Amino acid sequence: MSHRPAFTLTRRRFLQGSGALGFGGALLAAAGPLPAHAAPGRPGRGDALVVVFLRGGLDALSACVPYQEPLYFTRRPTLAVPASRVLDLDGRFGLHPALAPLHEIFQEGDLAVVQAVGHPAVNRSHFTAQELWERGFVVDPFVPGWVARHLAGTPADGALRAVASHPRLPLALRGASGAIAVNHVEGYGLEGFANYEKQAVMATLSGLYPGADLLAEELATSAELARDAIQAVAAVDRLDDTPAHGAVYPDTTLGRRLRDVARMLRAPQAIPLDAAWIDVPDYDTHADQGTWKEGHLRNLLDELARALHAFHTDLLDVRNEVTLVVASEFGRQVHENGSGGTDHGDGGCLFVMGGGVRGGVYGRWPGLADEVLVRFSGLAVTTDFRDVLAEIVEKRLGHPDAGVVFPGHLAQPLGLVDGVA
Amino acid sequence: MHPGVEVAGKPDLTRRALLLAAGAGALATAASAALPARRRARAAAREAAAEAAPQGRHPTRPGPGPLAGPATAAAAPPPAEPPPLAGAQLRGRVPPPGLASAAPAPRDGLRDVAGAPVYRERRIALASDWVRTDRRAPPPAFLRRQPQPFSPPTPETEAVAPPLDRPSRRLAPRLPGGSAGDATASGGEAGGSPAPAVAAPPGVSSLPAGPDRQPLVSLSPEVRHVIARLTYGPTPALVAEVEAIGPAAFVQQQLDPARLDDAALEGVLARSPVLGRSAAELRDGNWSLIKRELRHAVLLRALWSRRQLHQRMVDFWSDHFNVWIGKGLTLPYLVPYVRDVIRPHAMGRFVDLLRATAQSPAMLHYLDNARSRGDNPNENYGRELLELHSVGVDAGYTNEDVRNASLLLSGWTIGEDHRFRFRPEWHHEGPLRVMDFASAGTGGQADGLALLDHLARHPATARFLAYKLCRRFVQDDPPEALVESAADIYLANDTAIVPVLRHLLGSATFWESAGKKLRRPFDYLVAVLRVLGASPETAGGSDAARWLQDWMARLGQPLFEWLDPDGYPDRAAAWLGSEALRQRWGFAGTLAHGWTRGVAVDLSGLLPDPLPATAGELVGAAGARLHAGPLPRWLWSALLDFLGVPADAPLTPRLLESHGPALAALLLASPDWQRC
Repeated sequence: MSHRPAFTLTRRRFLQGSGALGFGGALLAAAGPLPAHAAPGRPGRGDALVVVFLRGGLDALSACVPYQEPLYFTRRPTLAVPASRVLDLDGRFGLHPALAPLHEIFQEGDLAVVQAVGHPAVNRSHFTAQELWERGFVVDPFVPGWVARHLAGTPADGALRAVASHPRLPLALRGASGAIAVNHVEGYGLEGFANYEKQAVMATLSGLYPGADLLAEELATSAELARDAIQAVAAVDRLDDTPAHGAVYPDTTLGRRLRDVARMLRAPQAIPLDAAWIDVPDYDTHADQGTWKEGHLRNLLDELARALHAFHTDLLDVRNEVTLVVASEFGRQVHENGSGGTDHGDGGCLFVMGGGVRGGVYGRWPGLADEVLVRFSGLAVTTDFRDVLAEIVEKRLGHPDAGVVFPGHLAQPLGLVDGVA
Repeated sequence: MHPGVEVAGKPDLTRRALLLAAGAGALATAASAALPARRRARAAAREAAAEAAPQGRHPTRPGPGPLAGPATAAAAPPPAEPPPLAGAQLRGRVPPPGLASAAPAPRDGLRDVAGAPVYRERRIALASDWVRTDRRAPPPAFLRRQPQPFSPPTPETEAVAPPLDRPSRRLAPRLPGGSAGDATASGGEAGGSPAPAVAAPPGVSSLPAGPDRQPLVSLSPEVRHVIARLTYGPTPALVAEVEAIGPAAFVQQQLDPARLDDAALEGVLARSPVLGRSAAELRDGNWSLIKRELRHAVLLRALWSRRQLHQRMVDFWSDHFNVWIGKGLTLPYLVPYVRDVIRPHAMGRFVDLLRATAQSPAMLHYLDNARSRGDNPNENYGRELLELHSVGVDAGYTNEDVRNASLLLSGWTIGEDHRFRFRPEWHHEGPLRVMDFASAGTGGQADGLALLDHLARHPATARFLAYKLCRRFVQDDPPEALVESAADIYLANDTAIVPVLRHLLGSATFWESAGKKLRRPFDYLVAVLRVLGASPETAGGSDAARWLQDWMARLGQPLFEWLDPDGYPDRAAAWLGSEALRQRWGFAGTLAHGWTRGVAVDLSGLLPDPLPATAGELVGAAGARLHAGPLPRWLWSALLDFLGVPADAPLTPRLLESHGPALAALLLASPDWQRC
């Protein structure tokens, strides 16, 4: 990897006893005077990537509605979003009314929607589909996730560079050097010890994790990251946490997670973040997903759109340095089922947000006629996930070769982002 | 051997190799190339480490060294005088009496590779070893302190001590949480919750709660292993019990839980206002109380049940047949689900368990089968039944099979009384196939039962379950041969689970797998509580339940909160990472300091009586009581470094008070407690 910054800490250095003191001090000095909304740029590095992953399978036909298709309304007698209610995108498709905040961003030209996106090998199993997505469609348990692969091929500006706003790392980030899980920025630190003993405890903990076998090495790496994270995230936590430009995040888990990520993106001195991952649960709407007016899915979409809008507003100053992707493992079936929901399907939709995005609707629409549906029930996949992601990886994230991140796939870019200047 | 000495340069080498392996080059050529590269790097690093430091092996690795079994160890003649440690780590210290230099020498002459006596004797607690004729000081305040159910101030706001300056440090800072020991001794009454939360209710005397001065370490790696895997963690009493009957007999005992008396615990749980009730009754109850009662019962069973393996199997099936607590009306259904579905069948026959889950309102509601009608089925349950509950995702079924399975089970729903109900008018009729199963579709509810029976006895199910059981009880990547043989036994015994477990736990692979599993967060939480002899309040509505469940969430495994039907992950890779360790360290620290709510922790009850005389002896005694295995020399040395005084420095009340809790926490935060 490229250079290691001053505060990168190796196990050896940490073990040299007093090294810990200098480390903490240097970081504090670096992080202290940072203005809250600085936009220091990312010289030599591409955009920071933020992935918002909707677990369970987003019902794309409700989120991005093909409202000119009569078949949509016949297949979805109770669930269809009325044409009169959708927020038009391009004369053919329209967003769910709960996505109004996203529609604003679309109108500003910072949002791209990709229709009928998916992967041919996805078999309607959540677990297979999510795993494929996160591994970048390489089926090999020993290969790191695709975000980890991307990071391995781009320069780092520090020891910590990727964050999952979650208690655990998602597969996509596993195997990445410098990837940490930060469930809450607020109050982050070494807990359970009095202030007077923390430093000595930390120094002792360092020595307690020798790597004598594979699992011990993994634990040692985790311990090393925990130490780095305790320093760095606590430094972020000391900074002003007021969102910029009056952005207001919804008071929900997703709102807090996006807000945490934004805080870290605004504090590159503490964590030079290159990637962030946020999981959103509960999109598996088999029953009672609700109507356009109310219900489970509407609530989810409403929260999502407000949180994303706040994030976009918060980071307006650095909007050309952050690219955000909203994706889900698969779309849901075109026909609604007998319990007011939809079962696992195939093609779905995907959103890309950021200053480098060429706003618009992308992807070839396959239609809803029986003969073009997958197994007579799912939307056909006309755009491979990898085409979208590979383009972002190369053009926005500054990776020299997306073929390394998504091996075995010859990507066909859709032209949905500009190259980094 | 101190790791800083032992493996100079190794971690860097490993990290670099990892980066390279994960890097562009390796992936560009072939994704799978990453594996050999990584393994090579690690193997090289391990060799280097082994050469550089023969006695620095990880304590839980089999082979010579601290783990040497009695036979090997006995063969090593006790040197007259232990050879000096490497200068870098010794720093002029002399190991404590009883550890190395002083008489009496360890009775059995156990030595680690370098010849130093291994600090692991059970006899460490014999009072005579610790008696010093010249020392009759009363126990320090800290040790006289009563366990506190609650200690409000947080370390951040209350710490008054100056930053640690180890070499010159003489004044012990006070612990946060009160003006030192004396004041806090009465803090309980002042706080309005007088008695330490506690343990044995009237008439119940056999709950193994409370502090215990006996040391934890066993001479036998087999004893340690069998306890680590079959139970929620060692306690001195359990170690003594297993040593007495032998590990093999302990396995047999645990495989027959009905013969183990659990009356004391059942007596405690029987007082719950929730656990014995029906879903219909619970629906109108206090949901947040129900939730806490449900989870607290699981915790108390893990903590105190003598049927430890049974509880581990309940945990296993609770993941295999995961039901998320948060979906709609699930919560009231979960109480009978755990009580009547999972627990009775956890060590019975899988076919009965599968039938019971399929007909449980909890599962019917969670995976929407209750809503599935033959004219327009809901595929949720049908899919997960195949993918997660029985044959597994690689069994080769199609989407049509998923749909047909859903049709066969259509009409299986929940009645007005919140019990299972079959509604013939919702049931699909007509011939259907699911993989190699064919149904005429005229049998009503029997159609679905026939499918479940078929799936339970399917070879793919046998293999899938055998694999998962191996993964849980043996190692993350179990050898193929073990999985296959376990699957055969499953089929030969008509889906009975105990014979499969007996096979796994008797296999050579099992006995060689010590330390290869990572404790999941819940297991870690319980193991730490057990070893400390911590006593939580037993009521689900108590502070203890709330406090512990908050920690379960922070550690990453709040019971019944896993949303997806696949259950909490089992493999180490899913749990490793910075946040996992940060939270575990935090839990160990919080507990050891007694900053708990409703959970009594009494560190003073863990140390030998009378107290060790020197700092070195204190570390030795704490290690003997709290380390997961024999305390290796390097660890003793590192912990002494933490105390910041020479080994022969007299143990003062101040030192004990200022550093005692953190010393205990460091032992509990060590990697040996993360593994099992």
